[in-house]
Amino acid sequence: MKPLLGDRIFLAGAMIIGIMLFIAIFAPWISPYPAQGEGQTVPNVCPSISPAGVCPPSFSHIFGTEQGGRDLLSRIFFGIRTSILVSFLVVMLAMGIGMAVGLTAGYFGGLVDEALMRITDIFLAIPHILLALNIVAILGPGLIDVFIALGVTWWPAFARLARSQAIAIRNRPFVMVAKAMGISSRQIVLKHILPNSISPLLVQMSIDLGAVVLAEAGLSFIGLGVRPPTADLGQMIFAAIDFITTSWWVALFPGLFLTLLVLGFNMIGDAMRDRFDPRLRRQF
Amino acid sequence: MMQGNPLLEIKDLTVEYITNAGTIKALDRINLTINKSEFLGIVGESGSGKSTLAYATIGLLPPNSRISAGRITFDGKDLLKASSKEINSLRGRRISMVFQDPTTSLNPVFKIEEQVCRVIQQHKAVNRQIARAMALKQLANVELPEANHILKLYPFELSGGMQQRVMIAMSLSLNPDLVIADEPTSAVDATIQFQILELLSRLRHSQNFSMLFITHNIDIVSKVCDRVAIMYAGSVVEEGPSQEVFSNPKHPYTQALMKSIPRPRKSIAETKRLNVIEGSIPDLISPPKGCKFHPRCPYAYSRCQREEPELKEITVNRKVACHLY
Repeated sequence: MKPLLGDRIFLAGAMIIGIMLFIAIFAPWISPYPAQGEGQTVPNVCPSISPAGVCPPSFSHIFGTEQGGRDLLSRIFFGIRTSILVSFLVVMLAMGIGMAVGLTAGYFGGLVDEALMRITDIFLAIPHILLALNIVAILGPGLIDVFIALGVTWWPAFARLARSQAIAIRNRPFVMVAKAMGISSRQIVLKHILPNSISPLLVQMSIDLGAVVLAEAGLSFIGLGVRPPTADLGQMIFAAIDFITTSWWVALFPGLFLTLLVLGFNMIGDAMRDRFDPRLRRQF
Repeated sequence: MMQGNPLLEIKDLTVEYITNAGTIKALDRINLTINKSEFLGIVGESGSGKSTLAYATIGLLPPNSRISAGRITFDGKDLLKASSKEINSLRGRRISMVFQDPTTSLNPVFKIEEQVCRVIQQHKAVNRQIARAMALKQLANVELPEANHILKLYPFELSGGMQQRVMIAMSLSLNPDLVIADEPTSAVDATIQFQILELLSRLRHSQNFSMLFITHNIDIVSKVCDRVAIMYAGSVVEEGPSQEVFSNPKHPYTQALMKSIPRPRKSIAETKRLNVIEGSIPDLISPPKGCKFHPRCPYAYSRCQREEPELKEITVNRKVACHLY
């Protein structure tokens, strides 16, 4: 089996995500207009062309400007920051809840399993964008609320995966040995079940990072995501609708970066899935 | 061999498995005792209930099983009535177990040090440094060379024989009173098997533990065990000092077992067919009436079909469950 780093798809994905992470971390230093990225209002730079401040790409604004004359490139850099932050936090929260629920249900089985998995089924029965929408509608839009809404709706997939892993591993001989040596259930779950079931969860995690980016952009697009001064790719695309017939760049560039970001996460996820589950490997 | 209280006393133990096909009586009123620092061998074919006996003793029967009758007393404590917390504190510390396949008995993601120390630290409030010293001493006791180096290795870096030694070290690390060994040598090759048995015989003198030794290999039992119990279809059919049982088997099943052991031939000309016991182990969902061995027994007579024989003492220390005696 070739090493993961020798996989071209993984490498391409890793490069895209590497660049995106760099942008996200260093946005305040590499943006041409950092303050504008954070939502600073600016005087119209080209009122003659567009009264709303939407200017085409030029030397001073290589991707042009959006509504209000803010530099599009800076806004995109900060938007990537929001997307990556939200997706990592959401996936971490979902994985945390999902693993706690799933491993407990799978290891103990019986009534505990029934109770926990039926609760999980309730969450799974509702499409997660719909559930997230409801939660945001109750909590009100904002970064933290989006994080809570998506995290709370995203865990069932992890719970089911963790449960199936726990069931497969709890009957392995070394778990029996641990029991025979008097190791406590808590220790068995943490030290025997968890480390041996982590790899499919990591695959799921990398695939879901991309999906969460899209879900978050979707929520922002319909106005239930991150609030305005904070830059957000979904919200930028929504704001661009008004200008899409006259100013192509306002929607194109945020959309392009959003696509790249999701593509990068998915490529890493796919490569990892192929690695850990050879049955799904594509045949060329 | 009458000592005060036996270390382990199993009385009328009956274990059933509930399956879709019906209820299987895996153990049928088993009576056994193990004295302090005694090795008791349990011999039987697959399906005779010997592993069920081991798992019942340490309280690790699968969820579809049921202990429908009987008592297991360990050092005066009724194990079947003990809370799971009490059982957990006994396991590893006073009763431990060595399993069949050493290659899957160790957690693949942790180093040996981590695994042995975790067992020690679960039962003893010591820091990692002391636990590590204890682990090192125990690894040296099981005659693993360069114990210091082995602690830093992952299980896959060890051979099967070494892994089984690590398992033995782990199960002996807290000086238990009773070690249950479930076919500890059936997954390793003959040379290693011999070494492991030698090791167990040496360790019993230095660490003074009792052992419930489960196997289907009669030769092994006669080498390491003081006493032996022969099991057939969930019942003990014969019990006694291992040398006596094997040199002078009483029960027809034991006799048939002894005959079925292949012996090295002196020459090719001597070729003869391997002795086998005709028929197969009975269906335990609806076992034969009377003595469970009667359909395969050459000496069976009418009484065997009607009445189930009780395990009774026929001479000093020898117990047989057969109507012939």
